[in-house]
Amino acid sequence: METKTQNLKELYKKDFYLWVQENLRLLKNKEYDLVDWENLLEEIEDMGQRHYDAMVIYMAVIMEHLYKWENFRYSQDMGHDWIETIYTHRRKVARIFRKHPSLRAKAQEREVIQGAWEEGVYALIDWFKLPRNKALAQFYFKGRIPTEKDFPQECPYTFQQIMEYEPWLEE
Amino acid sequence: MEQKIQSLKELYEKDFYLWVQENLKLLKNKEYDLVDWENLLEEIRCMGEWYVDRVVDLMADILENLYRWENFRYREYVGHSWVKSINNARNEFEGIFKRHPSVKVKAQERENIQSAWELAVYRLINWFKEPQNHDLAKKYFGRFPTEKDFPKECPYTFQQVMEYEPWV
Repeated sequence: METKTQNLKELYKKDFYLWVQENLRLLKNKEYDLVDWENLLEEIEDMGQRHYDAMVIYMAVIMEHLYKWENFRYSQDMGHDWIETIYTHRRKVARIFRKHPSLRAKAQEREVIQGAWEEGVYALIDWFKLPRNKALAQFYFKGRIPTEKDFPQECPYTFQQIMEYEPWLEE
Repeated sequence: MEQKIQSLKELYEKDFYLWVQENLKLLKNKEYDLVDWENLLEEIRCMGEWYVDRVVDLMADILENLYRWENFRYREYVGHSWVKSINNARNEFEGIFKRHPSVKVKAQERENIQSAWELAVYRLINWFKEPQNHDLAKKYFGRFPTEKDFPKECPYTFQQVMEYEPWV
């Protein structure tokens, strides 16, 4: 039995399609002891994780652009596409919540929001590295590229703000 | 127990993420009787089937462009982008077959080649409907073509799908 499971584990790398078929056959026959649980459990976990990861990325994009709007809008007529990005990603997050209501509870956990904020900060730093934003880096950071230290360490937004805050309506 | 499985099954539609977590927990505890096998087996099957679907899609790309090259090359110098599409699809094929050798066997099943061909015919029919190709539809068919204007059975073998290069 050990060798059988071992062979199946090797198949995971060598021929994923066949690995799926073999495990399916074993599960249907209720031969649970022979299933490659190590890889199968990970694959099943990924089925859900994909949606969680997407949610965190969307939250990061929203905060990146909220922060940009509030801190790096150097002229009145810019930032319209940031607003659009924020609305688009709010709709994407809302869609994930509709399909996976349990992720809405997860999204409100402080450490999840904090993780998304850190992603957002990396995106902001990269944004200042773009050649077309050289003048902005000059204006806001005296010509150097900002680092993590130039942004709040703790996420400055609440869950409700991520989903609803519209500072552009307040002007 | 029946009721527990029933509510887990409902979760599949209502909250997929939670459904995954619940099934994972049951599997880790070896509570196999409580798992929503109906949906889980289908999800696992889909993990593998994705590659077969992709391969059928790539075969359709190749068949569409091969057939167009051999039958609708209205001028000597057109068709370079068709050859490019075929080469791109064949490259992706090689990548998939390397990682999933068994998918190559599956791709050769007559049924899969046939569905790829039907997909290719459908795309060719739509190609003739594009405004810039209306003249071509007139030239070759005197009207917009339908399924009946193409061979019913796929006119190429698997080997031709993979290797045939009529432009060489």
